[in-house]
Amino acid sequence: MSALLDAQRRFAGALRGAAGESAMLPLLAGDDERNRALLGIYRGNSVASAHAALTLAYPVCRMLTGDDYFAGLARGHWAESPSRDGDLNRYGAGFADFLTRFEPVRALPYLPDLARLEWSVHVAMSAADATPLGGEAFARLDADALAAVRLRPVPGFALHDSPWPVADIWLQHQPEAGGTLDIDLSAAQCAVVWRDGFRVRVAALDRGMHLFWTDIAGGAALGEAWASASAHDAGFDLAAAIECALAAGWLLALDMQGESP
Amino acid sequence: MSKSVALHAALASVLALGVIANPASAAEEKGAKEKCFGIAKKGANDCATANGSHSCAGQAKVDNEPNEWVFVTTGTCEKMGGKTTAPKKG
Amino acid sequence: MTTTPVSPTGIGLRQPHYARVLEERPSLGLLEVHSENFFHEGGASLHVLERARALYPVSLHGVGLALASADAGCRARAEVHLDRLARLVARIEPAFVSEHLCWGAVDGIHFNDLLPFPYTGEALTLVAARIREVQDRLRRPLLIENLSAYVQFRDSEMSEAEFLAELVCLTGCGLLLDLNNLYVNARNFGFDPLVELDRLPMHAVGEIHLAGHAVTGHGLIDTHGSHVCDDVWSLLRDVRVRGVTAPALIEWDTDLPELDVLLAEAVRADRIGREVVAGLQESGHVCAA
Repeated sequence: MSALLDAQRRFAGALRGAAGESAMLPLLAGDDERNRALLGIYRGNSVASAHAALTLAYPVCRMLTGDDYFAGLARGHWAESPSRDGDLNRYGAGFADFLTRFEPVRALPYLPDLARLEWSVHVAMSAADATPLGGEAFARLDADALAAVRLRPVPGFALHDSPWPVADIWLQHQPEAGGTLDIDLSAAQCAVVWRDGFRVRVAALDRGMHLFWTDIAGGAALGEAWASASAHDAGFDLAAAIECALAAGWLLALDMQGESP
Repeated sequence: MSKSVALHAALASVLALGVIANPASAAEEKGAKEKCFGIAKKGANDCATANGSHSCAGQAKVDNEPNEWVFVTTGTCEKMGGKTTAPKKG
Repeated sequence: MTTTPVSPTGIGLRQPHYARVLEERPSLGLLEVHSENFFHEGGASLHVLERARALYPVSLHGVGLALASADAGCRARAEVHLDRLARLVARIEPAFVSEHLCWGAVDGIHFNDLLPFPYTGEALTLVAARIREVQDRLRRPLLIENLSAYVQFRDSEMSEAEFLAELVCLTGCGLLLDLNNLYVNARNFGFDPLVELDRLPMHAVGEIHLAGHAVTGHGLIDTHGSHVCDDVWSLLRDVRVRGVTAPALIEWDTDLPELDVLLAEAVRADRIGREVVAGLQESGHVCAA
């Protein structure tokens, strides 16, 4: 093995845990005890980077748990799944899955789903800019064409389905919410995340709408998505769904049957 | 009402919306109004983003690897109540 | 007799200062950001940077390319990183693109830190090849920054400055001379910063970093969290006396103060540049550039 690669592997071992320091010390000039402390400083930097990245991506989770608890979660996640990318903004995609497995979080069972919602918000923040579709796109269609049409959502559009009121929890932790919490934890909730200009929005969605938009986002034709939403909710209102999507700016493009997207 | 009749009724209702004025505009136009620098988040790669610091700026603390982390919540979760079982999905 | 004037000083642009910089447009020669924070498809941050670019020259300062990482798997992954950087460079058309003389990833893990390595012939061959790849891809020279390191390797065959001088010869890259890093290392490892400075090819210096550090029980730590210290200001004077006219840049990350504090540091750096040029003119010691 190359001496350089060997040195970097030993350094990595010391960064992953103090137990790795001993293998690294023979490579370093100077006093061993001092070098142990200095390796500890490097180790602290790596943990702090992970913590900083997760703090930026999961601000509501941090508000819910408090800073010290969140720091413990960050350390636990970094120990299990360290960063793999040179861009720290990409670190933390697996945080929600970690939370579902992490024993202390069982007392906060809504936290993993809230983390999933926050990751969607984080991703939407830097999604491609887009000009949403205007209503005139529908005016050209007849009923048959409309049934076959496939709608493409804007970059950053994401749907969530949780047994917990994740949209309410998120919305009530935003600065504009004023700090008072009025959340019914027994209420399951579907939520939608999207970019509106530069701002990321989150809203609760009823189940029929959620089913409909999940099918649409999965590439189903409008008629098919209507059928599955109507099967669940006989009162599902297609016109209201389209109107809502156009008003909010969820749609990027409308692909006709046979057109390649 | 058969399924296809119901579908056509639903489709007709969409077509009856006519040309809907589209309040959602391009990111640039919205940004000019909303001041994008008020919305832009800190970047995770800036040294010292949250607590302490990292990468190009070092943090002056030795990591002593606490192996016994006490998970005591001090955040807003207490205000939401201590429910610990998920309700049935609706 | 004429001398090239010193380029005006810049500051690192950080999120809490976005609004004031873009609205008040203070007189600055350069704005610098961390490239990786703008590796986005779109969104507000990227838009802020484009607006900043319309007003100032911009320097893209990388922290994640890990030029000295020896692991082939991590180098493959770094290609994706380089793609993102190339896209940002094409979009922003920066005045400078810089990276650190460090490694950061091995066996699939990225430590997102600027980690030192032994300055050996093996490392020189690897880093030089990597810098050439990056420069070929970006079609422009990189500025390579000297590191603040807290540990030193027994096997190093040369000093960091000697290593950097070799890189300049081998690749045609420029240098981002971080005077605080040089000072922190000189104090921690007990060498004379001027001796190390004189090993660096001054003609290759394309940008100068100035920052503050913390004095701790473990030595000086490069925290970017305080004023530039007097010894580092003195080093800036030494560099200007050696004929370097490249812009200086104030980096401040930890405990970021009001914008005015950074602007005052930039004014001080500008003043030192002017004083040195004036002094050289008076004494007739002007390099024929």
